[in-house]
Amino acid sequence: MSKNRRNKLPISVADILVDDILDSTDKEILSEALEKHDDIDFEIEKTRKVINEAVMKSRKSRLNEAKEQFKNSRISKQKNNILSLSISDKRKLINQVKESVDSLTLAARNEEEMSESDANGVLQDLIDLGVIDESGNVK
Amino acid sequence: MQNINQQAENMDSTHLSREELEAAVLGISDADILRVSQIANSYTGSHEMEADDLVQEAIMRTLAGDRKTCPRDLPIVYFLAGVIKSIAHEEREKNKRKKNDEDSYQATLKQFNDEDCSTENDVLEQQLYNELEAIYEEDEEILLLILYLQEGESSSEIQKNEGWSETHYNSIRRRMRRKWNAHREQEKIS
Repeated sequence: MSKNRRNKLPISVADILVDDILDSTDKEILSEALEKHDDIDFEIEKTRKVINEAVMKSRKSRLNEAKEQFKNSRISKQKNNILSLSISDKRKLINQVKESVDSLTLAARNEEEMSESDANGVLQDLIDLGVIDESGNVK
Repeated sequence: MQNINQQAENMDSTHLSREELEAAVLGISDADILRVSQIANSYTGSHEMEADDLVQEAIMRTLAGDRKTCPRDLPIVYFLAGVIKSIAHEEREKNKRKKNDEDSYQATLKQFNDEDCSTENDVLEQQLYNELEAIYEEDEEILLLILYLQEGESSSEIQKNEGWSETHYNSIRRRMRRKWNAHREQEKIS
């Protein structure tokens, strides 16, 4: 029999040994560990490290999920609103904003010459600056 | 930044919130750390995951928030034990399906030759039980218990069939674990 297999249990047997581990008192568990390991603190720290790393990994994964959700919600909001307008409507909107907000100095380029990507950039800047909302309403 | 599900989870007074769960996991006692480690080690037999991988996966699932969290009145180590057990059983089934697929061609050939068509996985599981018989050969009650477990009997059925009290059943189970631990230590030395 391979040495690797000699340390393995059928799952039904593992289940009942685990019940016994859970039923043992803290004192019994600690004294068993002392019999088994030369350095019990090292053993505890080893598993604690695995647990702490898993917690950190979980936090990171939740943060990435939240970032992704935030990004998707921004994209979908933008898609549903002004960025889905036709290029001529986008140009009109930029012109309206220029006329209605006196203090605003947009780059001198005539909006009629703006490419779609330039118009998207200007509209996104106006949203980010809080001049208009995602639906194109001047605030 | 909390979404609606997290807020609802926090309002549930019968279960720990995700934040409370994380605090419980990080604050686990030394004795419970040893329990978690022993539990994970007990479950490394029927699949390819190592004990540390089982612990890590259990913590990740526990904190993922896509399932019911730990009831307030349940010690965290019991909850983690349940998650580890569930992962081990899942992995075993996955492993079994994978091996069964790999074996299907060979099994078909064997059927044509009228030979034993047991899959490799069944044979390995049987070998694990056979090896236990060698370890526990001097303890008839443990051997009997293993026989029942191999047949998939529950602990209450075993106790009923054998007329064992709960205390007696627990003492057999304890002897079984002690002998197993001694065997593992012996294997490490040799």
